Amino acid sequence: MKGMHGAIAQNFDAGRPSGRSVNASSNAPQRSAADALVVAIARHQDRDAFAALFQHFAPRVKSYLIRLGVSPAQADELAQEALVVVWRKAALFDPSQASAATWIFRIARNLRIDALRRDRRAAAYEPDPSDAPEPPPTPDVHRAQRQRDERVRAAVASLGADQLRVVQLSFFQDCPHAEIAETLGLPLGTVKSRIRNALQKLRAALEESQ
Amino acid sequence: MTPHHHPSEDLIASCAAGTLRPGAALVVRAHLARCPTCQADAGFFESLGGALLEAEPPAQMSDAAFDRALAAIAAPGRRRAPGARSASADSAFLPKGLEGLAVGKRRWIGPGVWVTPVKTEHRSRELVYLLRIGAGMVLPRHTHSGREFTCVLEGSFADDDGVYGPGDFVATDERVEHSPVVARDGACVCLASTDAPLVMRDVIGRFFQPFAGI
Repeated sequence: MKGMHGAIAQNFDAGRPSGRSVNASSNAPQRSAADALVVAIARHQDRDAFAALFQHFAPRVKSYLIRLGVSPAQADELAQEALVVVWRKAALFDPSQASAATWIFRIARNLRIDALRRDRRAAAYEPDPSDAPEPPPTPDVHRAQRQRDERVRAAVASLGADQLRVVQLSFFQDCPHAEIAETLGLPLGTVKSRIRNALQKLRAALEESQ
Repeated sequence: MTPHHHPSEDLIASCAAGTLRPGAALVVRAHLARCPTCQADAGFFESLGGALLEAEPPAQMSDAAFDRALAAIAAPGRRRAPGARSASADSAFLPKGLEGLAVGKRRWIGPGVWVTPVKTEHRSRELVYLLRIGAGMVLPRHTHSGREFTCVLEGSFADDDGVYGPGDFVATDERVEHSPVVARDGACVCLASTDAPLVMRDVIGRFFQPFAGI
């Protein structure tokens, strides 16, 4: 369906997908272009919106999964599957609670955990607690969570390339500091101070949002 | 009451990132279900996950990927029947979010004491189990193998390091040797995981001694 959201999709493709709407000091939850795309899918089964989301997120999900140790072929399949789940569960997405990026991250993480199961049909549970996190008690909490998403994103965007690299290795790959030092060919002390500085920025973002 | 004993921040981070072993992650999630503080921490790390996902360098998708996804969304969704699997009565001990996990047969170790494997269906070689110990019982002095995580689901026990009630999280390894005592006012049920190559028989053996003569 070539709907009214085609324009959103085009902007999303052309420009920076996110971050532009981030205003860490604002009280109103900001919505990114990606959020609007998920909402368009929920409301109108908008395939242009799906195409735009796929183009943006599937390659990033694949890259994340490869970091977790998934083979490139399986990462490709799981990334497709993640976006198919986004399509199917779009109605459950609540932009007042989480950004589309965080929601899609949770979906991808859970799909990979599912994939670790020996026999998917024998899987004992379909918890997906992550796709729909604990319903927070009040709108204030919703807003706080959404703000946290924005602030953390702004903090990550403000990291230098070197800091970002160590955070990626440490968080997505669970690498011990010594291994990161070896991978990057850096002295251990440098790695430690980079991680410390990056975490300080991120924690500051966390504290602001509480 | 909120828990007093929490997983380390590293554990919460790796659980949120999806890098933690799946059995250990179940025990961490059992704690999160009862601990708003750690839930908030996990939420922060999920936000970080979302932000880092945005920052990932895009990997090249296969040529057919998008067409396959389009075909999948055009097809009717596969209906997964929740509850098609019969959860045993012991599944009722499991906290919110884990309640659908299948639980194996109880193996009685002594009066009031049983263990039952939790069927995670993961390829990982971890052992996950429920352990129930009757009110007022003292466990034999034992040590641990590998990294073990325990979350109290019901009741409480105490050891030299403190008292552990519902939601409390305990990490133990080879260096910990203790003889926990269950509170007198009720049985204690725990969810535990270990990454050592243990089978249920080993777990039973660990606790068997004191009851052998009863």
